[in-house]
Amino acid sequence: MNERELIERVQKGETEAFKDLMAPYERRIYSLLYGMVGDHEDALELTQEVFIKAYRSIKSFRMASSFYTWLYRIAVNLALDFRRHWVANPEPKEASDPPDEGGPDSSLLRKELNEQIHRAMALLSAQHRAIVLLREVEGLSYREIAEIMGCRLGTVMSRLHYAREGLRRALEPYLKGGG
Amino acid sequence: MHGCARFTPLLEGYLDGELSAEQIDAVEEHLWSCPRCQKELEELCTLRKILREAMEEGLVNEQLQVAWDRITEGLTPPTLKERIWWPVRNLLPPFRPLRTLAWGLALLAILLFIIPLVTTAPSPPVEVESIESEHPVMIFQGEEGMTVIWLFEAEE
Amino acid sequence: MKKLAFFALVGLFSLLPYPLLAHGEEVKIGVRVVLASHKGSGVDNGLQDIQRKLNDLFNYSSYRLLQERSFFLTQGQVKQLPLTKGRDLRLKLLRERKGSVEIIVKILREGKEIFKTKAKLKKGGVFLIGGPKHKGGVLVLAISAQGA
Repeated sequence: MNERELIERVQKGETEAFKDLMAPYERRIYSLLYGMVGDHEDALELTQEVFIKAYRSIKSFRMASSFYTWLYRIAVNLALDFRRHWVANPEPKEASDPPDEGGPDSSLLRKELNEQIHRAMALLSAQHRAIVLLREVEGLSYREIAEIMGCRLGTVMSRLHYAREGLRRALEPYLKGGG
Repeated sequence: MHGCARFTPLLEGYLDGELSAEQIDAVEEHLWSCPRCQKELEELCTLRKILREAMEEGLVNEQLQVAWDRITEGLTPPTLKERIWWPVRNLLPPFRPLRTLAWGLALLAILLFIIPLVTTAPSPPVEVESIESEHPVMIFQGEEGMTVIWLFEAEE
Repeated sequence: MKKLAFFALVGLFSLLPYPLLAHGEEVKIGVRVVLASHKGSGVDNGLQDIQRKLNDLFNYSSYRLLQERSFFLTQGQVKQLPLTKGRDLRLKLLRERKGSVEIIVKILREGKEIFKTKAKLKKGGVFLIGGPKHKGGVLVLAISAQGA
């Protein structure tokens, strides 16, 4: 069954079809939200909110536009809103477990790199973070990103450039070595 | 390395597949002879790779399953509405505007009569039903009905 | 007119099988973590709605909002939040009925439960749990519940 048929079934109130419709997007929406909020539990919670909101508003979806840009728009808006709930200086997160004794291990290096990436992402504004994730992780075109973010193509390009520059500065040691 | 200033701004568009065929040819020609732009492009590719890996980090099916369980719970209200409304609608006689209006008004009148009868007496905004604590605890209410539970913790 | 009949019927159903309808509804829970102390003075902007109550109830000079979270819970769902280093707050929505909400609030220290309370809140109601010591002051948790 194709996506269009699934959407029509969900619009008629068939809840069962909704899970099939969303299956290809579960991981993608989750990883976008994880990049936006930087926390697994929050990302899972937001994924759930995105899906519920999508279900509740699917009747307003028009087939003329693409379903995934519509879905991403819900996700990005919820993530932007979610961040606004935070106080400017929340209690710093507890330090992660200290590394086990012994030599460096690739999973530890990976963990360290991931932490650096999340730190670097946190330095960007939520709008910049959303744009860089939609492009670099989700692989969307500038036009699709502009549609999701509700901004001009030129704005997408300049924000993407600015975000990449920021990330490159913050992650310089990891990029020079070729990853 | 000649003409880097012209090509550097195009590298991101090249990587993102947003250039025209002519621009792609020009960038590729330049890349052949320019190690600096090659390195720049390589860094952009590495950035993309590590970002993708970081976002997928720790994502396991089990976690998403948990989220789906919650999502299904979240979808419950509309399905309940459907479950209740659709069978009721099927039982109703064919739609007759005047009769429907009459029934609607009659039901509203009944509801308006019933609501005051079934409404319970006002209860306090917060009722604490039980407390279990390692430390001594005091519970009190402020003048405006704000309930406070206070834990007497010895040390932080 | 069809709509009128629909609303009248839904209204009637909402009175009869209430527990059935209530199941699965979302409740918005708000948690504000406040550091009350005698260091400095003033109340953070995010606490203005309960500023007067805080001043009436306690005699601290400063109320700083450390964290503010709001999230949705459905019946039986649990949410855990880090409070301070080593301390977590765990909330469980037991049930939501007739405009009130029953929740279990636990405070964990290094994963061990040190405090547990079961409370019934009217939607829109707030209650406070205070006392845990933190950074020369005490923590006050303001917990509220609202319908989705």
